[in-house]
Amino acid sequence: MIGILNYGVGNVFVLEKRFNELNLPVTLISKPADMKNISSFILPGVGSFGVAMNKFSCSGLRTALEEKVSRGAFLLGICVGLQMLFEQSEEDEKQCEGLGFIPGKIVKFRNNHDNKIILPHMGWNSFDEIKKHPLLFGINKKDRLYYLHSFHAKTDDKYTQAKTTYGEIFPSIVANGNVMGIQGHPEKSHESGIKLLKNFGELNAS
Amino acid sequence: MLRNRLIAVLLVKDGALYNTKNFKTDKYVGDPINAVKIFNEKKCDELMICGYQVSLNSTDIDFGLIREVAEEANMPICYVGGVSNVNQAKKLISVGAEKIGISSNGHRNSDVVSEIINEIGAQSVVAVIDYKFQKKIFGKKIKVVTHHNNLILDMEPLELAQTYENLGVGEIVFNNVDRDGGKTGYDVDFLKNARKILNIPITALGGCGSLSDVAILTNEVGLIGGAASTIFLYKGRHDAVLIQYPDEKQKNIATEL
Repeated sequence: MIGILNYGVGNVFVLEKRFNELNLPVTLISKPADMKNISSFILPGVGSFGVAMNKFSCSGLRTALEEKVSRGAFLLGICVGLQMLFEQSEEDEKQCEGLGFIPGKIVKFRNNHDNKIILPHMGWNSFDEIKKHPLLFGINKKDRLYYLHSFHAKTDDKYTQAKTTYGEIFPSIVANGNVMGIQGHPEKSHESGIKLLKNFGELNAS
Repeated sequence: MLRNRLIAVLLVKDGALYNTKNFKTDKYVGDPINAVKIFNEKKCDELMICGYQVSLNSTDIDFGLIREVAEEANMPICYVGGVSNVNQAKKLISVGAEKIGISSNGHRNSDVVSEIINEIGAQSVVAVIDYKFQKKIFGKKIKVVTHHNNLILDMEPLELAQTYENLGVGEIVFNNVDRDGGKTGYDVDFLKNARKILNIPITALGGCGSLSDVAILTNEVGLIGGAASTIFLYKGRHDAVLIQYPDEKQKNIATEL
């Protein structure tokens, strides 16, 4: 069963509806006891890194999730949820600590030479490179996801599963073992997004 | 590569879909959820839902409808209309809107804009600026208007946009009300200026008559969203109601940078 972490950040209902439409069993997780039969977790997130991290840490879900993930449960971070998987972010004034499931940090998009970059990165973007990974089954470079963010992950190439360009090349899909992240919004990206959610939901079966 | 967004604007009132021309005549178009289903099939980039006359009559925002629309939509939703405080913005995000548009209520109240930004995040806050040209003895002046074009403010739209950018909003929608429903093309000269001055995403509304108007925006302005209503709702000389949206190939031609 897929569990969507419901900690007051991000749109859990839309994600729930997408999995229902895919006929994949899904439930909302609001307390550690809800995690009992969950083998795959979704960590949604919108807004700022610091606020989302703070709310997640205060939700009482963090320790229980860390325990589940250390025992092999799958975890998918979406948008700010992806960013929270890393060690730290430069978004807030004092550098904010993340969950640390994937080595690396979250940085702001930089100005491209003399061209001032327009932020946030908003709209439908494709991929420059896609690696072979079960999450990316059936996805090709022309598939577009909807993006809305000003910060992105900076991490080792081995954790980067797909790359996208906005002024610079950034990791748009990441994975470290059972922990994965999508910077775009698969729940709002037509068929391309649905394919990604389906792939994640079916990881257990494979 | 990123391409420009082609945004369908839907006006809702009492749970139904309407369309306007020069903000005046409103015409019943159909059921919004049914429209969203069609926009899903057509892979529409984004929907802007406008609560029509919510700010005029202070009718409550129809949160139930926004939730239904957001759950149905396989694309991002921006809600605009009558947002005046942080609680409404929070509630709109919780029912599934990705972006919240603030308009007249934010033009003279930067505190409420900052409060909403702090709560839901800068990238989810959109400033919607309605403007029109005023003929003067010496040339023309561009002024911000509110209350569905009934009130002209002594404000210049680009200056107001810069104020919003400094406050930290994530996007500005420029709506030329003179062109509303007229299908005469976007206000390209004004938008070129806006793109030069601002460093955040901008979106054009008002005047789109066909996909080639969007292509003109892409070619002449660069990175900009093209929003339209009329061209997605009617077909033919007699303006029969027919919800439509270009296919992927046509859209890419008009929006690829």
